Amino acid sequence: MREENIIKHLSTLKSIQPDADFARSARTTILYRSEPRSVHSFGLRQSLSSTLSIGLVVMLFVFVAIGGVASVLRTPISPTLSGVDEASLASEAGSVNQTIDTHLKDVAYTPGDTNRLAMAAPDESINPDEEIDLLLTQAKGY
Amino acid sequence: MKLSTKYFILAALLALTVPATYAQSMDFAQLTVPEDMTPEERLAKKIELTTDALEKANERVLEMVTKLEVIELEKDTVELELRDKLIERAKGYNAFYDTKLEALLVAQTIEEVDVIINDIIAYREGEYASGAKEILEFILVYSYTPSVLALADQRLQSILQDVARLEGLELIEPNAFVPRIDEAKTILQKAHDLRVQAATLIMDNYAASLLVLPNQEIETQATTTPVIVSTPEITPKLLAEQSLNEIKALYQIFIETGQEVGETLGIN
Repeated sequence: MREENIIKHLSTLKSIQPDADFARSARTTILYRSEPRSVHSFGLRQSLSSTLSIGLVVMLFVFVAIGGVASVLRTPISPTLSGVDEASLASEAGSVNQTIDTHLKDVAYTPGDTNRLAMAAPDESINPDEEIDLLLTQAKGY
Repeated sequence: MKLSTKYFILAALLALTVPATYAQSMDFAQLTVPEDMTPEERLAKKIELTTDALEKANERVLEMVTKLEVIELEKDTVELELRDKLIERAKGYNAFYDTKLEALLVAQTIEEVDVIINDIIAYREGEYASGAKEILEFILVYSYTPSVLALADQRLQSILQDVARLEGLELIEPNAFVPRIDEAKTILQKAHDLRVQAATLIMDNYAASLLVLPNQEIETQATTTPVIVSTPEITPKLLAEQSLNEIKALYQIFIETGQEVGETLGIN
């Protein structure tokens, strides 16, 4: 790529603007992650050169332009808003459902419950008591 | 081709094409018995299968005992007393199975083994079935269900904290999620109530037959727990199942709440 092409591409970055949703989400992220600032850190921040600040802003826009939006928006909320985090909720819900089904299967059958044996679907796993009774039935059959 | 050979081929084909659990069904078990087996082979097979069944039965009982033992109950309570009696009862099942294992070791004929098998089946369908049902219900109501309810309680509290923080930051409208939260609280409370009813029913059903309850304790329970109209259809197991199914519905609401919060924050 020629130098003039690079300059041309870089100049187009000036026209990139964040959309409204991103601005709102970025505000959410910044507000949410903000910590009480110490006097020391405030002084340090003030000492940063304006060149560096501008550079960071440019990097942010470039990052947004190359599609890093999703990860920027999604990752910060997970460790901080764990209660309403969708991935965490879905995982826990799946685990709870599986646990409940296992518990209910464990108490679903007792010996002599012939209806249960007849109703068991081919792909349905059986509980230990069912397995024991089936072994005894097989043994009796020999 | 001999008939027994056909059975063998059919059994092999079925074993390859149907799930293992289905292959263990009673019909299939009868189908797999080859007619040309010698009496010695039949005896050996009977002993093998019965021994396997008894060992699994012992494992099942030990599992019940372990689950009963880890349930934390307050000292000097009726629940603890009942729990201990259930453990004692379960150990009695082990003793029966051990006796039958010993009998199998000295069995010499098919008829002797058949007698043992019939004894085991009769025992399991009689004494064991009713006793194990009580044990499993106790575990369901005092161990399984409370652990699931505790997890749901924690999740609701965590959601409440997050919503409060977001409201404090003015990122969501105040009270925007009140209907959802209220719905979740109602369902969770219902799940707790159902578990309490199941526990009360267990004590009502079994205390009279297993324990001598002081009248005062019975009266105290009656005044502090929901009144239950005992009908044949309502069992501790049914109530506990309903409680757990409420938790399944509750988690669906939790997920929807999380989605709505995400949409409100513009991150979905």
